[in-house]
Amino acid sequence: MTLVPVEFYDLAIFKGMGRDEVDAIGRLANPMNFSKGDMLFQEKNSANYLDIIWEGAVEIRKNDKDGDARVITVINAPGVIGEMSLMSGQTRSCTGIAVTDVKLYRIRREDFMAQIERGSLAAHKVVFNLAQVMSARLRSVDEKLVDLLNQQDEVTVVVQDNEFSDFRKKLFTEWAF
Amino acid sequence: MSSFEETNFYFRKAAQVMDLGEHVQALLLNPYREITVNIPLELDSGEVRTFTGYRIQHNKSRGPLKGGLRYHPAVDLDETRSLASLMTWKTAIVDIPFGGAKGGITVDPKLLSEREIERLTRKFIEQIHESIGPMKDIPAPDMNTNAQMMAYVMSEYSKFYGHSPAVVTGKPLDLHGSEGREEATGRGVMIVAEQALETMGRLIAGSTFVVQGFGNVGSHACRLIAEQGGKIVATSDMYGGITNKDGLDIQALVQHMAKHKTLKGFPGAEEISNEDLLLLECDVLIPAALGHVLTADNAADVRAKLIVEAANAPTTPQADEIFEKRGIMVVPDILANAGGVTVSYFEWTQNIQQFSWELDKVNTELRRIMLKAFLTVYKVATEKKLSMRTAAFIVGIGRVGKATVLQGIA
Repeated sequence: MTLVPVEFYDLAIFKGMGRDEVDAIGRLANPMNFSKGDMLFQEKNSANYLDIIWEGAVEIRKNDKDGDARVITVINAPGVIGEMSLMSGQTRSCTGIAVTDVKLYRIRREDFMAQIERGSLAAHKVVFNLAQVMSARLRSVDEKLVDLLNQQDEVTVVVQDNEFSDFRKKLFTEWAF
Repeated sequence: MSSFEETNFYFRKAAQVMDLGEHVQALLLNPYREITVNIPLELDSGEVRTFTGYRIQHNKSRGPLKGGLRYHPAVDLDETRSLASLMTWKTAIVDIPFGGAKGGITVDPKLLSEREIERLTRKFIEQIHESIGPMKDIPAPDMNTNAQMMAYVMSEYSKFYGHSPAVVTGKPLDLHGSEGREEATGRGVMIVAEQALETMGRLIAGSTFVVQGFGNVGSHACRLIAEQGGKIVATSDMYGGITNKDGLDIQALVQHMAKHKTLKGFPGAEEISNEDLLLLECDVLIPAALGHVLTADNAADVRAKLIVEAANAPTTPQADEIFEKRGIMVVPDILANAGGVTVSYFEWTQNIQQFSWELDKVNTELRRIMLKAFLTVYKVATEKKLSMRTAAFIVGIGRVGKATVLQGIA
């Protein structure tokens, strides 16, 4: 029998995997329910698990340098949260808050790592898929960073350069004697 | 309004027309370097006094810095700064390869002996010699300083660097000075007056002139204008003025002045106060003495058709606006009295060349430069419908700006 909802087969972390392999991972997952406003996990806390959102939406927040929470993204079902925690075992980089009632499947890192230890091909495929998901995400972050840096440069250069380049231009046209 | 603020007032007026941003204005307005020294001097009596000296180096983008040294009790940082910035625009307007500077000592030289003045001048140069030089900063005579003092400047500087006549201009003719230097400012005034009259379809010959001040600038201007057939109907010195509506005999007046040290008592002329003199009916008014004589109080009553500013800052900004509204052309000081610094440039050139020019060559070159400067400013003024003063600042700012950006700001 299928352990996980059929939509899960289309998730990026299960890409290229057969149903039996997805089910093998699904057997590690525990179904959980959260109400709107519940905290799924908190930034800087240890929370070594991967959540597969089956219903609802989760807001991902991160504190800025002043300690104010800033919304980074909203993960809608079907979606995955906690890839980094699953892979690294480090504390959470963000906080997750249910913005609706949420149904999810939670896979503990400990259980997943045990599968890896045992040489489960399905678990290794998930790791491979997670690596792809994360490199795509890293690439997108890199692009955003470049955009931000460019914007900053433009702001400074525009203020100064417009003034001086306008001056230079006029000196050789309108105000040339 | 402080002196520096007043200069900046005209600068900002031009900057507004040119639509210059705040950073560009700051770049052009602020002096490059400000030097203040305290000069201890042993008086002939054996007493020791300390005097304060300044050298403000405003902008050196167009070449070595250039500007006078004045000895006066009113010399201070603000006034020196203002005069230094005026030199930047002035040298740029006449397009000679200098930047702008000014310096001086807060002292009343009338209270010092000739030997005390020499020691004070030498000690001042000893304290600033590292910052001046033929290719760095070239002082010149100004209020209460003369050719003899410039000879001390040359001598003191040469002790450090060997024979260096090009470190200072306005030297005695017998010590690397230039022919035509003494009358240069007056000649420049005559040339621009002639050009300004020409724009009105007039000539010097047949026009009437009132010249306030019969010192070095005023007396030479009067003489040269009279030589061209102009009629000087009034002139003055610090004691008051004289007038004759049929014209004063300038040659006789020069002799009278040499003999009596005052214009008073000149035969065939009526006496008039310096204030009333400014309001006389005439074609051209030439203030050639003090600053701030044309003010909001008397500008509406001035009856001249043209004002040529031989003195520095004779017109207040308020009076300037009144003249502008009344359509009276004002040839501004930074253009009108630039003949002096122009011949200073010739003196420096001759010193570097180690060659002397004949008077004719000096006068020909001076006419060429003043003419070109006047026509450039007049063209901007008429094309952009601006006053001659704003146009002159625009020409100066444009040239200094170009030299600055071409060398790169970083």
